[in-house]
Amino acid sequence: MKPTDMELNKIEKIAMDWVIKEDTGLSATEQSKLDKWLSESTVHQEIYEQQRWSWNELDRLAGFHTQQGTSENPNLLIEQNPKSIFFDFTRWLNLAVAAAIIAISFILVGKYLLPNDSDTVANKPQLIVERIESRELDDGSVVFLNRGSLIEVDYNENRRQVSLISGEANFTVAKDMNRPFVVEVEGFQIKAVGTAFNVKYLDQTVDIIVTEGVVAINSSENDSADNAGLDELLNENQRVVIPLDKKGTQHLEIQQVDESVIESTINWKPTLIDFENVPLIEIINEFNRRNTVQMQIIDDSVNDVYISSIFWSDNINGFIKLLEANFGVRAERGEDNNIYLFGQLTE
Amino acid sequence: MQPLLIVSLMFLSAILVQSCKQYDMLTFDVPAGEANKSLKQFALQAGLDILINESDLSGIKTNSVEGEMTTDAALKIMLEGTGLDYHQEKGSQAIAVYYINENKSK
Repeated sequence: MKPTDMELNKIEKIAMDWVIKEDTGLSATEQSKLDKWLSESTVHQEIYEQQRWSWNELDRLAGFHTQQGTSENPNLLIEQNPKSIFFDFTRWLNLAVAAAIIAISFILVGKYLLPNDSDTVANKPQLIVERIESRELDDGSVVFLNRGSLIEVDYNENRRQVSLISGEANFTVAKDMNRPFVVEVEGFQIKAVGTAFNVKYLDQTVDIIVTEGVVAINSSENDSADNAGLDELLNENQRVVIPLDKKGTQHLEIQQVDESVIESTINWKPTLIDFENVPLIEIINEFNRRNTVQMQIIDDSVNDVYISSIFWSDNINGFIKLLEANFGVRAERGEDNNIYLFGQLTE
Repeated sequence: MQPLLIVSLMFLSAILVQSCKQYDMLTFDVPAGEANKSLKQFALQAGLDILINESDLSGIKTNSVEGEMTTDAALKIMLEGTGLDYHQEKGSQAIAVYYINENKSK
């Protein structure tokens, strides 16, 4: 049935409302309503198309810059000099300023932010050794992450939870009696209030050493994390190694360990290496003791140099770069991932 | 065109802020003294790692430095007139100090 004039007016108004709304963007619900309205009648569709066309035409006309005036413009139809059409001084000035700012920015980036020649290990990207990451958590607790390790932090009002996904982490926990600090690794929970401990998760084994205070360990499978009576307590200078393949079937075997074991276990944690007037080999030995990547002097002449230093034990990159730039040393990374040091004159 | 200008200015500001961070001012208080000891003291205050080439360094004393300044400015004051120079590795927070002579390998 043909719609009446009144109905047509109403449909036109609705169609125009949709067109205007579409211009500002429709939500999913609105789009669904529009589709439904269009599908109700072919008249809706036709009028909607007309309104859409009109709206687009208005947009197009708005793009024209017309000249209006009370007097006749004799030059209106004369072909304009292209230069006068395009030469809008303000526009070009703005463009020039913007271009200048961007150019200055790029110069600054090049000068100050990009590494200079001595920063880049040209043609030797394999020499890069990542530094140990240290992270201060929201509560002031500090975590050192050994190279390649990964944690997830999840703090809430009642609990501070850190999941050790892989690798090794050393925790120094800030005291907060109301929120226990819990490290979760493969179903085991290590709960502390204010303490320091090291957790290593490697080769299906969890290795925990407490260096300060007490931690409680349990398996979350028993759901007894909040029941201290069922936890195994690990005191200062104690260690437990949990093979995950026997999880849940064995009693945790707690070992007493001395300072030397603790030191050798957590010596990956960065420390300042302080030497005074020693041959290079002594500093290298100290780096080697504290890193899995090993350095080896190939050319004895390299060892003639005597050095004083204060250096973070995980800054192998910085150490190598300075040796290469200032001490007549050339470094090469071997296939075994270790770094070999030659005299610069040695081929 | 104004949005382009605004974006450009924001970009420039970000770059300038980053550039300024490279030149953080630090407070130094290193007395004059034996080069290797003073330079280590300086490195600790600057938060830098340091390697000092001990060859020909014996007997050299560095100048005192005191006040708020950049690490570059502090080092220049300490090393002025000593015959020592330095090389900084920006990417690795480390510097090397050595005696300047003909045989310096660099």
